[in-house]
Amino acid sequence: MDVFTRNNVKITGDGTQPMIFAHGFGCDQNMWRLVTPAFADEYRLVLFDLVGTGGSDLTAYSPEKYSSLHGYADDLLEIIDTLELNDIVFVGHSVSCMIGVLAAIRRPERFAKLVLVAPSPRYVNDVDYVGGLEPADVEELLELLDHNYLGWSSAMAPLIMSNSDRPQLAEELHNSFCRTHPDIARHFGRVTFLGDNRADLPQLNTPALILQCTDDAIAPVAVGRYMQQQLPHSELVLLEVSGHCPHLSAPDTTIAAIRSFL
Amino acid sequence: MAQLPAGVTEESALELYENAPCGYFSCLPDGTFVRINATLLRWLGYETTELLQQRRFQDLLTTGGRVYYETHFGPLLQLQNSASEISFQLRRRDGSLLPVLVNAVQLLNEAGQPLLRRLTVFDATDRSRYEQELLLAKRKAEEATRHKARFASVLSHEIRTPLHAIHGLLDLLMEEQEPAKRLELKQMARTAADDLLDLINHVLDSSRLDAGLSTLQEAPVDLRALLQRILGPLQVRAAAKGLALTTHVDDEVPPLVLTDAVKLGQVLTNLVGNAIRFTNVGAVGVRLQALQRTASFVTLLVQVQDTGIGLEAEQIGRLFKDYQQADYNIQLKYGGTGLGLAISQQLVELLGSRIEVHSQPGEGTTFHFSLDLPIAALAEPAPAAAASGDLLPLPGVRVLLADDDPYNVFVLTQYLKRWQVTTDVATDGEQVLRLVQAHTYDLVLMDLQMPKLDGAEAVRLIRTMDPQLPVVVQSAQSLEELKKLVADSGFTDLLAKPFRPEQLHATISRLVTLQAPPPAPEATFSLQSLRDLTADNPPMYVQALQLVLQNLERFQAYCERVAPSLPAPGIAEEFGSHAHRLAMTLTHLQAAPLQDALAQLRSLLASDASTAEANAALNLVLQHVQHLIGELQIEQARAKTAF
Repeated sequence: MDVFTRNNVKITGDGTQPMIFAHGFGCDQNMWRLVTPAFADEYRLVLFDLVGTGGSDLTAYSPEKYSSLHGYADDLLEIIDTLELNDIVFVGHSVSCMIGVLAAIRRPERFAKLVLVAPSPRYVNDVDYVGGLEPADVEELLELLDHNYLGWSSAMAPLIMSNSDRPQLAEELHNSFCRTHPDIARHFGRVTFLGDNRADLPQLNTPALILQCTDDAIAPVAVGRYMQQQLPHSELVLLEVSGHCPHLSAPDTTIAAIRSFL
Repeated sequence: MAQLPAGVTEESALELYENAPCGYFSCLPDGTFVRINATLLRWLGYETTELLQQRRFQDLLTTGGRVYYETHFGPLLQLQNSASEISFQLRRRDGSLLPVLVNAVQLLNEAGQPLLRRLTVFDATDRSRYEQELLLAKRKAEEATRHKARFASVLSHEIRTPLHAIHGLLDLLMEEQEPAKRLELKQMARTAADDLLDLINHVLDSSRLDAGLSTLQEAPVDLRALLQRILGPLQVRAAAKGLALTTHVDDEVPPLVLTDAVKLGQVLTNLVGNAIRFTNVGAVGVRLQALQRTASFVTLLVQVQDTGIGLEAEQIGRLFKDYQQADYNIQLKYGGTGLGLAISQQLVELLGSRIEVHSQPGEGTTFHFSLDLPIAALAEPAPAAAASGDLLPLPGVRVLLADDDPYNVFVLTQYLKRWQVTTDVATDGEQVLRLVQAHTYDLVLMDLQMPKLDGAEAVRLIRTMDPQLPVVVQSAQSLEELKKLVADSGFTDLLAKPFRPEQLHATISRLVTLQAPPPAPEATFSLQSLRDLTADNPPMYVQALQLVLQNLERFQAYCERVAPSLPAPGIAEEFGSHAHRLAMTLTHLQAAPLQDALAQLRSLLASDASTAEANAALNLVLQHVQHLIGELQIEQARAKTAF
């Protein structure tokens, strides 16, 4: 299966230097749509969905392959190889930040710069480490995922709708973004929130920008400081934003911060 | 248009909002409350001032919910300006949780930027509970399906193994001419058939236990005798592997206790069978110990110990789960369905206890459980089950056997013939009716599944012809299902396949008043003494029977040889010494009729009787001897196959 089908890869933009956008847990590449237009003229934009989310091929998901972030890093490197990308600017959000870090550790020659939006190498608190969450919180999240299967039913709806003579109804589906499969979401949630990639950080040589929100329950400021200390060539910028997705809730601030780094 | 009532038209928008049957609130894109309706405030226990512009929606969520809000709900709302039926838990002022369903819309200003969010909140307490139960049921069902798939694959392997064996053995049997080898092949085929029957009975037991249909049938039980009976066949298996099988029953264990012998026996058979199966060198020991004893109760410790391959700690954990022997490889190597242990545990639980395991890998394993049993009074010993050789003939009884299975018909008619029962056979329902109309029967033995007319229908029709005729149904269905059938459609009684010949004999004896008393009011002989003599040890018992038969056959040959010369002088003394050699045997057999006939013949010979009288007496003796030999041969064959 080719990477385009598997990861729903979309290429836009008029520039030459590639800029890869990797979305975080809970959504798909649509998360970037308020930010990407700002870079379309100068860069070649590559967007994709992590396997198991959005428009990716769900049949390509295997719990064994994706039992750690390395499975996703493999996919990213495959996209890079297939498209023969070099001098890459990688923009990741949330868990994709660590996916990018892992990929850049393995192939440093391909990556120019990393932009890490609300990253975290480990979400659960540890001795002498503030991750922000407790294991019980993660369990509760996983339960909630079972109760809320976003877009899963809407994936079925087009089949039903196609029989009616009102095709415009198919476009009025609720929750059609950020589609996923409940079992995959559960597994991905576990891998994301119970993972620990702190040991990988010191091995990254690529220059990185860390954008941390000041009021983020999932990746608090302490995590940002920790990452800046552990990543050899990194810069921490705090965004006065509430929440975990500044590229959605404060796109202009985010764009400005990225621009001044590039 | 009709006038609407006053209260209806005066509904204000404010009132509609504040007291709606759902919660309403509006917030800024960052979640800050800017408006909340009275209903929601009441549900949460807050005052307006505590929330408006003070708190955010996500502050009322649990931490897990907050993560979901940031990763799913927020982005969705941002991307498509609406989100529906999102499940959350809101924290009330008092800290308790309220499960809710939320619909949200996001409004944009003229510049297209997010301005405001409006949300409806539904109280989902009941729905949440229902969802939990559904999810649990879904997971259980998925687990059960996985279970069944595993079970089916293990079971089909287990069924195929003995079936293949039987198949192959029968093929060999068709080629083999040598009698000793033929016997061996037949015995092996029989063992494989027994294994298959055991397996299927296990499956039936298991589903019966699962359905909660098994009950305890308590009766006075002689534990020592029970052990002997069970371990007899297992001795042979142990000996074949060069293992010692020992039993030890403490003196303090009372002679009789009140318990379910069948279930206890099944558990012991399973545990000892497993011990033998998984031990290659050494011994298997069964021990019954009285841990505590009062006047009316005994705490009995049952222990099965082996010097076998042993079990790892995690294997022990999985041990009693259905269909899962400790290791899939073991199952292939050592055979035997893992069902046995799971059933044993269920049976022991039914008896009020639990099986525990201790093991050292490579050294051996001990299974044990303890039972609190009432001590039974000695006055009522349990009656021993009669062997088919002991069963009284039932002369003059006429039975209609309705069964279309040729093998079943063959076996049953053999037994019925042995009991001197006249048997007619019908192979379909319509034939049954014709025969019942044409002849008089004392009993109809009916199989439920037959062509042309099924058993149940046939019975109903028989009932219209003869309401009193005993009809016994034989079926492979479960006992509970059949009992209901008996009540509904007019059967007199039932026999569940596979049934033992004694059960059939007992049923017939019970339901049919014998027309004429049997010729000998007592049994013509008894095997009890022989059994006592050999302490029910099967090989010894068979040997004893062999010796008795040899004696009888030798005497029979002598009688036939001497018959033409009767009543010559001097014969009396010679005859006397031959008869004397038989005396001990006949006493052991309690063969009174033969003893009487012999006594009569001897007195005739001693008192100068006529040829005719002497011959008649000798013929009577020969008749009894022949009958005795025939019965003993059957008993010997039966005793041989018992192990």
